[in-house]
Amino acid sequence: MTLATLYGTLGIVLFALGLYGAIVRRRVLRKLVAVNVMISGVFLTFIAAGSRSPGEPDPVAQAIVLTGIVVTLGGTALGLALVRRIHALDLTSDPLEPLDG
Amino acid sequence: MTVTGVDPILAVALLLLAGGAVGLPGLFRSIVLYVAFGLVLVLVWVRLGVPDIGLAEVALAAGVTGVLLMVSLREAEDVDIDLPWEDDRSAHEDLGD
Amino acid sequence: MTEPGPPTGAGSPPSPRSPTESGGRPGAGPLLRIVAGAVCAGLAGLIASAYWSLPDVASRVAPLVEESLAATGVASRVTAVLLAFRGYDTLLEVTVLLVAASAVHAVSAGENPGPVFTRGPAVDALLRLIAPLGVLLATYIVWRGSRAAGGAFQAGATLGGAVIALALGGVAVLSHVRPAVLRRLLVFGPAVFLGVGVVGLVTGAPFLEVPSDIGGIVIAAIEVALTLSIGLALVYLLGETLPGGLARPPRPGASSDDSGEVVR
Repeated sequence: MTLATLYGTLGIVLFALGLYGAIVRRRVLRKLVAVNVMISGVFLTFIAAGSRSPGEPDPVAQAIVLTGIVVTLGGTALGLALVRRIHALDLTSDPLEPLDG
Repeated sequence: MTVTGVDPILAVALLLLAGGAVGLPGLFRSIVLYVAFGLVLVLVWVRLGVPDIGLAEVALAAGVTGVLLMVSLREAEDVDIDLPWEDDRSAHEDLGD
Repeated sequence: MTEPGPPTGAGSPPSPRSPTESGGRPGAGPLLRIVAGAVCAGLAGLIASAYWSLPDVASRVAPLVEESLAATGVASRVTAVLLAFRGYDTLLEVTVLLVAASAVHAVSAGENPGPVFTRGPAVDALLRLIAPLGVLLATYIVWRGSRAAGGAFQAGATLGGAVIALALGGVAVLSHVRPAVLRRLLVFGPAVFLGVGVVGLVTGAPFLEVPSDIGGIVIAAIEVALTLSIGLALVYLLGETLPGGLARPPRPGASSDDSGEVVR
């Protein structure tokens, strides 16, 4: 087994795990954690796929994952700011609960 | 590159930490496990030979995201972070998941 | 990390929640869990089978990067891809960060957190160590970014992290800078990047094309500008959850870099 196979498969498992958490968890904060796990899995598989041939991993894949990490952070930060805002406006009794109830 | 002894350990550690962050009850625990997950992932990036991503991961994904989650938790709870060993608070916490 | 004593989040009224209220909502039912688990497992299997059956061909773009690396004036492949070959991506990425920072800033207005750390000898000593080290490390990472691992994003994160660490301890370094200046600094990096692109356009080169003879210097300049803006954007991303992390002009009487009491 090569590194690419091991970590590529691991990334796919992490993706599925995060997706499951994002569906099943009720609290928005936990959903955000799960989504972050999911995205980490995508990055892992992406880089592993770029390192299947010998030598340095694909620099283009590296650059795209770097971009992705920054964009993920922006999305997470905005999501958390919205959660806090909802809490501040007291739209729900529990800030960490979803808005569906 | 072939798999050496450290790779299965890293893979299992990542799986356990991610599973804990997603599956175990308690928001505080979830956040701490996620940060630990990010730090182990840095080691994986180094193993894969992508130090650029490792640097970004440790600073952004593990560091700043961890601070963000922690501060939001504190803000939302209106009081200080409930620690897992303070079981009276984390007990009601678990029910909400 | 905890604060002793009563909660200091004075701005928002104490939450009316009681433990029973919060626990009243049922979690996801067993049926949803089973269905979601099955769907996710199936999806993982599908993707994994696709991944395992990928043909074993070498990347086509990696040799191209190798070939034209000399033309960019930087030695690091990743930096070359980020700032020369795929400049559009990076420009838009920085713009996304800028938009997210603005959105967080708009949404989180009026939040009034207390300090996160309880200041004490240990925290003070740590902050005294971390802040200059963060700045030094950021400078080093951006400086070596043109040759090896590192670059504007990593350096910006380190710089932002130093400011955030200080702010968490209640040291509002940015409150000494006027907000207008900070806002300009926030767009400084993208503006320099865009400016280089437009200059290229005027002189007849394609948009965002960096001339190869001075490419190294131009890319280094872009990186330094981006580092400052990215670091600041990260601080903005934490919004007003940071006590004094953002530039609010210190109110008269508010001792912003004193321990604890950050009054707004």
